[in-house]
Amino acid sequence: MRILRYTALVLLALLVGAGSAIMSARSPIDGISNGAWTASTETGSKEADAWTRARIAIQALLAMTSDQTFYYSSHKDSDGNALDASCRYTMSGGGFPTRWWSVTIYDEEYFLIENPQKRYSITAKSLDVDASGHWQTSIHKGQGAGLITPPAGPFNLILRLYNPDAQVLANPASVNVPEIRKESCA
Amino acid sequence: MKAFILKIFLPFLVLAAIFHLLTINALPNVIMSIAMKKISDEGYVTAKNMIEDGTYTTLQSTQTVVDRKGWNASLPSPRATHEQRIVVRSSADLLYSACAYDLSQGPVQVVAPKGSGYASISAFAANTDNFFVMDDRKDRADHLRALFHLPGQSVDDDQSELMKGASVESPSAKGIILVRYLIEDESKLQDYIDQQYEIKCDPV
Repeated sequence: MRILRYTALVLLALLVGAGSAIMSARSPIDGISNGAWTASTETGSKEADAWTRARIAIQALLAMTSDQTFYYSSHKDSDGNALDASCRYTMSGGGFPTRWWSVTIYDEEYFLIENPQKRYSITAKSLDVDASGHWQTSIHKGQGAGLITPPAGPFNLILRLYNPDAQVLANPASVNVPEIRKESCA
Repeated sequence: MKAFILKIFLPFLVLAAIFHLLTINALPNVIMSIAMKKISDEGYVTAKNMIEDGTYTTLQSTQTVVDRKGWNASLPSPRATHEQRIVVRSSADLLYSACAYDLSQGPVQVVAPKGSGYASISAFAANTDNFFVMDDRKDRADHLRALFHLPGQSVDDDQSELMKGASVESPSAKGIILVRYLIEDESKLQDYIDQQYEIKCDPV
């Protein structure tokens, strides 16, 4: 009876310990908050703690260090509500202090989303940018211009800044990241 | 109540904390091992099928990939789409070439043509750490070059001279090296693909 009790105790501890670790590794990579976006300067870094390293392994395996590519991640709109494929969004922004940038959309398992156009990201070259550097696009399911969400459920975005300027690394919270506004929901 | 706390609750908390830490620390290594196996196995199977089918390929090291069972050989990946479900958060703006490396038998050299836009060589240890990156801004040479070796592994002067590139100490015997080309101009996609097939990831 005692052996059974201790075995149950160990199994329950394993379930809780390993389960909480996996849940922690699946939680968004946090650190610096900037509007609807978060970023970690420890991505790929040897200085990353065990929890950050586990999150990177699950959510951004083979991501480079921040000085090479700076990654902003978003799971929420600019009002703090979770990004949801049943809603339509407008995303807008300007230029970024970097050599090249893109915003890519992913499903909740962090894979690219099937769509007829095979369009998975936007860049300065794929958008209409006005004279002041401002651009705007939509995020919605189905077809058409903009980024295409999965048919249902949550999704997330990554803003990549390739070869970012020094100011990004010095103060990532000061970068004018895109706004994500909810337009309507089904 | 005191007995319950001492005999049941406290041991449970300690055990749960230990399992939590073990899992958190093991996850990166486990996920990297899976990624390395997928890269080396798929490289092996792809190359083997191409040889058996007689399919023409510009991949110069096709036979080499087979000979090494997919290790220490560059595997050019097609542009990422929703059908690619090996590595999370791939970018469709990039062309990736992966090399699952194994330094246990000696150093490995990577040589990649630069092209006209962003290009980089990045290396990831078995625990996911990105311990090395070199991009096209490094110098004016037309190729990116790096020689990877283990601590204490001899790299003779001839090898260093031959490389004329970075000499990089890897913290682990196995890992993944990625060469990235940014597709800055869609009309030049074939040029980027041609560059991919020129990449070398070979034992010295």
